[in-house]
Amino acid sequence: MSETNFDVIVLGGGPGGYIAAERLGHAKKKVLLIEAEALGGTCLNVGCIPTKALLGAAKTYDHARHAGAQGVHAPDITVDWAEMQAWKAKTVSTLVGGVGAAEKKAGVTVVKGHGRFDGPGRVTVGEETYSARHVILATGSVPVMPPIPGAADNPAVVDSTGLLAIEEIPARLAVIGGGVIGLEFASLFAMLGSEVTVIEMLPEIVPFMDDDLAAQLRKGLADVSFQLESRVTAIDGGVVRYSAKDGSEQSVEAEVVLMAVGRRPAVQGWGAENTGLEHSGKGVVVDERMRTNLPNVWAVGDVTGRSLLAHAAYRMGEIAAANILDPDAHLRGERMRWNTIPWAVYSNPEAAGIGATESQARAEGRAVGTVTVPGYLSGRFVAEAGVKAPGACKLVYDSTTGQVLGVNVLGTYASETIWGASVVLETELSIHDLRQVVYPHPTVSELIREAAWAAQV
Amino acid sequence: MATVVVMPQLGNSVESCLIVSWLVAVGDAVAENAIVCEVETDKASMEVPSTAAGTVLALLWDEGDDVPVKEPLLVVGAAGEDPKAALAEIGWSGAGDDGSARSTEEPAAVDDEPSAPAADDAPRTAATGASSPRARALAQANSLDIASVSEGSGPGGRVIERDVRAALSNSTAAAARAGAHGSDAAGTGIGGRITTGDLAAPTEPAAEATPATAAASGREYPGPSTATPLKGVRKVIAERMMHSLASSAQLTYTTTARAAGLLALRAKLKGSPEELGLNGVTIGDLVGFAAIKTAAKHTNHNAHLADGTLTTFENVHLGMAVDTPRGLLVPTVRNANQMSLREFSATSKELAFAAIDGRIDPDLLAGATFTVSNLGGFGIESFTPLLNVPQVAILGVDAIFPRAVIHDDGTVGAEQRIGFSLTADHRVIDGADAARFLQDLVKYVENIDITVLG
Ligand SMILES: Cc1cc2nc3c(=O)[nH]c(=O)nc-3n(C[C@H](O)[C@H](O)[C@H](O)COP(=O)(O)OP(=O)(O)OC[C@H]3O[C@@H](n4cnc5c(N)ncnc54)[C@H](O)[C@@H]3O)c2cc1C
Repeated sequence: MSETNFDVIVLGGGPGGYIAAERLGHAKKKVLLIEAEALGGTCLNVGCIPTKALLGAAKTYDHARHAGAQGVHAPDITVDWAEMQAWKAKTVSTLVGGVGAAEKKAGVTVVKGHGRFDGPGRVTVGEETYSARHVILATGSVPVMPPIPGAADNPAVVDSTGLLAIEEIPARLAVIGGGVIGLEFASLFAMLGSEVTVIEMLPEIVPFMDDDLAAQLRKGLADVSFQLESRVTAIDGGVVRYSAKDGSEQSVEAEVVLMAVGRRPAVQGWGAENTGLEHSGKGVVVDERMRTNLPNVWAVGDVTGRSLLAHAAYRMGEIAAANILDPDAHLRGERMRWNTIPWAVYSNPEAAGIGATESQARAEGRAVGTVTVPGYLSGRFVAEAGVKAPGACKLVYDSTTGQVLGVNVLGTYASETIWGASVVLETELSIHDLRQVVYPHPTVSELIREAAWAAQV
Repeated sequence: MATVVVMPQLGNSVESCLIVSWLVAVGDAVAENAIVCEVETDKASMEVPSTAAGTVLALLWDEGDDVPVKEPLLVVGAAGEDPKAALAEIGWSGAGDDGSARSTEEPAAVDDEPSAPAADDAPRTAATGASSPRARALAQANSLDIASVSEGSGPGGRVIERDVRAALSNSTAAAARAGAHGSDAAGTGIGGRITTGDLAAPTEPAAEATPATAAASGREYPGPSTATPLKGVRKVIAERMMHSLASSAQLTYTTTARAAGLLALRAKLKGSPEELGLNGVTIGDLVGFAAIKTAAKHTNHNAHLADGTLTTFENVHLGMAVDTPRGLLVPTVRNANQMSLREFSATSKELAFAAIDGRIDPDLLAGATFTVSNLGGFGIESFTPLLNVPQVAILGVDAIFPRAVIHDDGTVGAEQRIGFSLTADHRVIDGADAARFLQDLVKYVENIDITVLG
């Protein structure tokens, strides 16, 4: 019979689960990783990676089409959706294979199957019950399907997973929800020539972005039409009906409708209900060390509902592993700092940010200073994208101490720039400190320096 | 070519060691692993083995010198060989202020000639490497350019950890950071950095642990006297104790418990079959076990208070005050709450012996979350133990002695009772909290036969 006694059992093989398993395996713990579908979870299989593979290809196409201004002429550029899909599939399988190899190298036992958490120290897969001193719950999240009349069982309505697998580029795409996932798909299909409409209930897209920059991002997505403050009332085949900002009833027609109103923690179907585990629709309750209310039971990633991002899941997985290995690990900073998680939208243009927005900082009663500089202050930005391309950097800071409270970046390379801002917030650097940093030139990151010098502190 | 033997890293927390005595002299033959000197850290004394075999060519330090870890200690090679080449090879230019090497017989061994590598002409600043690894790590962790620390108080002007600490404390914000690094507790930021959130409560100014010992020199004291500057372990104890009293609001609560259960169980264990491995369990072990249970239950006592932040611990890392020839040492039984009575008894004995012998791993002299100090063996009836800051509570255990009691039927008799003194930091533990702790402790002790089952 196979081994059933482990040091740690990890339920769910997405970014949160697999990184925890890997770290613990390297620390010589006997680890079991249980995954029902494919290693890599949502992120690798139907989330971050496949969307970026398609967006990368679409950006290449878009750049090629607009390269004339830079003296590059590529006539007859065409898109082959089937080949793009193959590129996506190859990317995914390469990376999923990589996770499998990494787990193997770390000595982690991987079991394929649907696991059921029976209580502290016990997990069952099929007939087999496994025991361990610690259990890490990392079951991820699922898309939210709001009860809009006509949405259920409508073949025209898909979630992100369905849209990734679509067989041809739709002539018209309607996107319900102007958050990250909605915008990435809107941008992707707009670049590929679809007529795209985004319907958003709130007054502005990307609610965690500074309003003024979010508006610039929206304008930057020139080929996408936006219906803000609009509430979808019904879907009828491909016709999406909504009450618009002015109260009037409107509709758009599309071949495909993407439901992208959000995701919710996967707290059902694996035993959370019967074990005394503290959870709600908002996720499994954890503290900053990723401990749940049950002894030696930990939860990480989307299932906690605290942040539905892969990099947050990674960090949570690492924190759980570190605290399992050493009960005092939190004293060395191995604890989750919820307000220093960056976000990024990989649309064209890109946007990224971290920390407080201007209005959040004001709501906290801070003495707030802000500064925004345009993208064209960066030589690299102008050289590669031109002066008119959408781009900006906004810093929100404490006007008495100069401490940086939030950073938003819009434009090319934003997602690659923002980690620098993570360090700034983690270490509580001030505008004065930022002025002393040496930035490579020419880079888009220099916008942060430009903003720091433009700030009034 | 000759080999340079360096001061080993004798534990993660050790930065330097004081040479107590050399056991070899220049010209002696040493085997690999032969003991070359005895050293003392601020907590324990240890022996340093040679990493090479051959003839001792040079001793680079004198007895009493404080040698940073990883620093060259002596040179071993073929008889008559010149040790200079080996030292030049590793870029070492000397230990003392005058740059001279010290050797008992051949002071000229590495001296005089400042002819060694050219780099030596450069001023000995951090940039040339004259700083200890711990100093560099501390500086780096606090974003301090080590080159800006001009005054090194280590040998040869070398910048050592305390210099960096001093430099950091020059600005108030930095002082908080440096303070945090020195204590067991840490901030909530990246890598344990102190964040502004951690500083919500103002930090106390660093307590200057300067005992008010008036300079006695001018006074008249008839008869012979001996003046001994505090050094080593004694000096550390002195500073810690003053710091403890100056930096916390401690007071002591006392109570007693019926000791009949302890005495009966101890007698039973003593007579138990040897295979069970329990005959060595002492009254002290039983009381310690009860204290661990109580501390695990009252986590506000199993805690650290530093920089306005109370950190409570799930596991009890029990500090045990041990009387050693070098003075008071407090080894730590890690994760004591997860141990059986047998494990706890064995572990605490082993640690106490290692502390007494001076061979304890210095890392085991730190990191306690709660401490027990047992003076029962000396017949002490009551005392006020001092907090081992940043810990917030310490339990003193007194002797078992007979006390008069009035029985229910009105007759007078005597019963054996054991005394406890709990010192707690009133900043975070109120009198009623401390009283509840002691109430539970009394329960655990009076029912010790049941307590040890849990
Ligand atoms: C379209 C899309 C794009 C995205 N793009 C990005 C992006 O660019 N950047 C970013 O940071 N985030 C992105 N995300 C979010 C990211 O995918 C998630 O935050 C991340 O995957 C969460 O990791 P996780 O480990 O918590 O859970 P998941 O990745 O959801 O993994 C959970 C795993 O657990 C398994 N599982 C669940 N229950 C059981 C059970 N009972 N037994 C066995 N296995 C079980 C599931 O099969 C799944 O594989 C995107 C998401 C989507 C949908």
